Amino acid sequence: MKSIGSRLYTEATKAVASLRAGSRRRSAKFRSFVARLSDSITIRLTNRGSHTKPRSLVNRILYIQTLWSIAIFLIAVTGIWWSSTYLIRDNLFERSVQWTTELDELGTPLYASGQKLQMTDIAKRVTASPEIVFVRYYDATGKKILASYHDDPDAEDSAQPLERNQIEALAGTNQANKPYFVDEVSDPGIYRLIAPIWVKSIKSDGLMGFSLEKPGPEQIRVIGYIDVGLDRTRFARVQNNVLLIGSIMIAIIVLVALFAGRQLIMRALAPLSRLKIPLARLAQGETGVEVESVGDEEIVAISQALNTTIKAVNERDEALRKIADHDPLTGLVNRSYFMRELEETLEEASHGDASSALLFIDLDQFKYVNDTVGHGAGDRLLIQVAEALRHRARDYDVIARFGGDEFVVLARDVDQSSAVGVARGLLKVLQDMRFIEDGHSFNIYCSIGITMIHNTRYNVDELLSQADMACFQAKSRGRNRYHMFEISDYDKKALVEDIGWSQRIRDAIDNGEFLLHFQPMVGNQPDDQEFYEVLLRMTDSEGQLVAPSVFFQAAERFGMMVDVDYWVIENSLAVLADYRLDGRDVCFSINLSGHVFEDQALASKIVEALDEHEIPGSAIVFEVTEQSAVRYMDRANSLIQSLQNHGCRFALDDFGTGFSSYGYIKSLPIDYIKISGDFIQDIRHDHVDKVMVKSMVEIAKALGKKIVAENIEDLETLHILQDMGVDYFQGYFFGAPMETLPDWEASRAMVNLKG
Amino acid sequence: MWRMLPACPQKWLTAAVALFMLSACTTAPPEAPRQARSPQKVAIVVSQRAAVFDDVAEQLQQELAGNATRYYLTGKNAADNELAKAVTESSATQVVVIGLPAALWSNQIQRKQIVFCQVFNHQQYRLVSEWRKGVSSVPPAEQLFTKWKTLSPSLRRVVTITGPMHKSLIAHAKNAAAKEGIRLDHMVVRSDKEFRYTFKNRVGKYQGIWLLPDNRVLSRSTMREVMSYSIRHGKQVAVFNPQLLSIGGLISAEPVPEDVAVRVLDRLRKARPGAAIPGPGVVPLGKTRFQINKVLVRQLGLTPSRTPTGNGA
Repeated sequence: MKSIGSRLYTEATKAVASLRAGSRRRSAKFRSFVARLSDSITIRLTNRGSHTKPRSLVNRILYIQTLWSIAIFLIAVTGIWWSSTYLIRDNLFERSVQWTTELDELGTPLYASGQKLQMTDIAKRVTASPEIVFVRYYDATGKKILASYHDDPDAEDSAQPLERNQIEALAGTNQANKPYFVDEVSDPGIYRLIAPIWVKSIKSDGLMGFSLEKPGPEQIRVIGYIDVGLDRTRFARVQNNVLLIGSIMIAIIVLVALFAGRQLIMRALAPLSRLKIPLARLAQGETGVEVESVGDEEIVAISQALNTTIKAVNERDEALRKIADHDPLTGLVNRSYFMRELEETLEEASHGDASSALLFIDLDQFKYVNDTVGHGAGDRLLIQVAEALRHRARDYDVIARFGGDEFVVLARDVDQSSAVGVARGLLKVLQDMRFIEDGHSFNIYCSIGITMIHNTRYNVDELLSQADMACFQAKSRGRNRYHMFEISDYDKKALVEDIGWSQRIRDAIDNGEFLLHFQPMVGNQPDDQEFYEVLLRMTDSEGQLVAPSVFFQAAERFGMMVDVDYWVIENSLAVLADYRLDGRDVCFSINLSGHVFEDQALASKIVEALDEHEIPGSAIVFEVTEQSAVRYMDRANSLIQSLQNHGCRFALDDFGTGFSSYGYIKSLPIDYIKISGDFIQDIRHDHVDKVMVKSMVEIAKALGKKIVAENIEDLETLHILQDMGVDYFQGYFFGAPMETLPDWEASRAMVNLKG
Repeated sequence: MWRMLPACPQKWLTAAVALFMLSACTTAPPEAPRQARSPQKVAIVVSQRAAVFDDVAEQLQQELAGNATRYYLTGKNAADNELAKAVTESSATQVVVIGLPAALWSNQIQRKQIVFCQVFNHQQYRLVSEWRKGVSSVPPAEQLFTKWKTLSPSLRRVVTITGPMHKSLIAHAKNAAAKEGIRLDHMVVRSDKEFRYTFKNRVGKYQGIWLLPDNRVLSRSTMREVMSYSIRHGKQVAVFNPQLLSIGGLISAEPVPEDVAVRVLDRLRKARPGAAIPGPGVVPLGKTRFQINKVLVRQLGLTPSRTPTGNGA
């Protein structure tokens, strides 16, 4: 899991890359970045990694409290029910025993006389007690009912003799414990208790020498049984009443406790609840929120932590904005920021009479300085130039570095003559500047293209294009000068065509209308991998397939090359993933423009794309041109090493055309060298080309690099290159670029053809 | 203090017992045994080792000197049967059995004159025959009523509750009571349960209750209940054992062992060898040992008469 720091860094890198790309779309991406950053922080602060709506802690506590209260209520009611049941059963037993004792005595005449008439007194007694359902007196055998009473006279006849088990249960004559037989089952509405009727006597002659202190055993004889039935429903009603009243009382107590507890919890958690609103605002991306630090220690700690975090986020946000809006080398604003400013100026100009000027500055001697004293010196020159421009410009002018040695200035509120004055001033500043490096002294000149911004129908891209073209005109006219853009300078048709290309490129990027073609790169060894170079194509306005050289100029002019590069990478990987899923161990070689070296997020984006498509880095070779690699030597080195760590390989494309020193090749950690087709196509007839290629091959071999030769169109050329030791071959001889992968075996077979 | 006693029967009883122990025993000295001796050999068989039996046996043995042999029942059939065989085969021509078990045991003895004593329910077991006669276990009713009347001059109505078969005893007692101006009623019950019921429901009109030692209808709980009830209702109870005074008896009347022995010897002496024992089935006793619960006397507000009537011992 990525840390917040690494995530922020990635986001920031993406944002910086976006700014460097300079497109309107990238600018929009940046604007959304801050929102994403806030969202990210908000999500992290509120609910890390959760996509469901978080539950309220306060509600959860109250919910648990309510559940507990219900549980306590149920337990208490159950306890009352259990206790009352136990007590009532106990009471029923005690009452029954009391009744049998009383009835035992009342029934004495019955056993003395044996006459049912004796029952009258008993009936009088029990009638007064409605809890008695029936009373039965049995003889000593338990079979004969001597007398009985029933509160329902009709039911009196249902009396049955005692059962054997009942009599057996009552047979004991232990003086300490008189046995009782309880029957709660036969009739759930009646609690029935049967007790034996005992008579006791002291043993024979026990009264001679009778002693109270030494009680002797007594003889016990069962003379009958009393069967008493109590109305259980009366006791059940009592129990129900107890249960009802008890439940109500407990419910009231629980409700009061619940309410009081709820109030206490609400009061205790009120500071936490108050955090909800600022946190919600924070979650929505508002980082200007301040959380109130009051309440309990824990809440204050949370509030302070939040405030500290918000402050840190704001500071980091500000730092990121600065990084995103500025060129890290010169400190000037970058293309993205400048474009926003330019759009605002254009918007203002469209609503008023005020005009501004856009100045496109290109250093005349930069490449010379780079080649003479190195790129480090070139960077220092750029810093010095930027400082000079900043010093010369007015406070409300905007100066930006667009990349390389290109600078732009937005001079606000100037008319055409003032704009010319600004251009002259800038020229003068640079003319007065001396750049001294490593014992060399350089005069720094520049060419400036000016276009006016007023109530115009051009958009920012078109204005930039106008300024660029004016700058080109200034260079064409001898450099170290300015040139004011005039529509008459250009073929209107060409301008419209250029703008048209930029629009088609944009549409192609947005709608995926580019085409990818694949040309085989056949290895000299039988076990060499299936290998294709990915070539970008698109259709022109008439639907004809055109090569990149046709639209790359417009793409570069309108700052869309990085987007084009990313489109190619993403779509190439998607195609490669499909082939690899089909089981083909295919490798692609993908071209990168030099502009991608300006994108610090390139490596991470490529790695993410590889991971997303589950493609190993070893299946990819990135081709960079010799000129771009040399121009961005440090960044190229860093990027190549970074991606090589993920298995990717690199090829130096169009080798030989840049007239670069071999020393650059030595210092670049590339894997392949692709010799420019310019040296190959006439190698059969041009001895110099043959010698140069041979020289390049030998040097590459000495450096341990693999050699790729392109533009091979016949067998003789192939044999010459094979003899030289070239490792891979590419050209129409092996197969033309096609929309689908060509027949690899057919291409492969060409390597072994004999003349 | 006494005014508090009715509210607290237990304390009252405790105090009554204490005072009773301090009170003078009104027991009269036993009449000296007569000097005439039985010319025959006598076997004395005692139901068990108990003072009430041993005292009589001891008196008899003293009077009969070397002509008497004392035996004790063991309660084990085999041993007791052996004893019966031994006594039957012995030279003793007369047998004195003391207590009901010994009296019942004497059913095994043939062709010997048998006198039983200290047996209350002899009718129940049909102990009286030509060769077997007895001495009453109940002190003379005349002495009891005389003593009681002296103690409670206002005594008019007394009831006694027993099991069945005591008509002659009760008839004699009624006469004795009548001489003292007391009406004695007799109620017959068949169990302790019936005793309690009868007592609670029918003694309300009586001033006194004469408690006879009929084990068939008395249980310990019944006795306690009777005593408790009597105290609560101000009844006077004449009891057969001085221990019952401690739980509410007013006067106890018990036999005097020497008197019992004299009556037994008298019967033995009057019996000719080889003939049936002459005289009634059971002869009455002549002396009574009385004890009075003085605390209860006060509690009941009795004012004893200074001139006793009757022959109390």
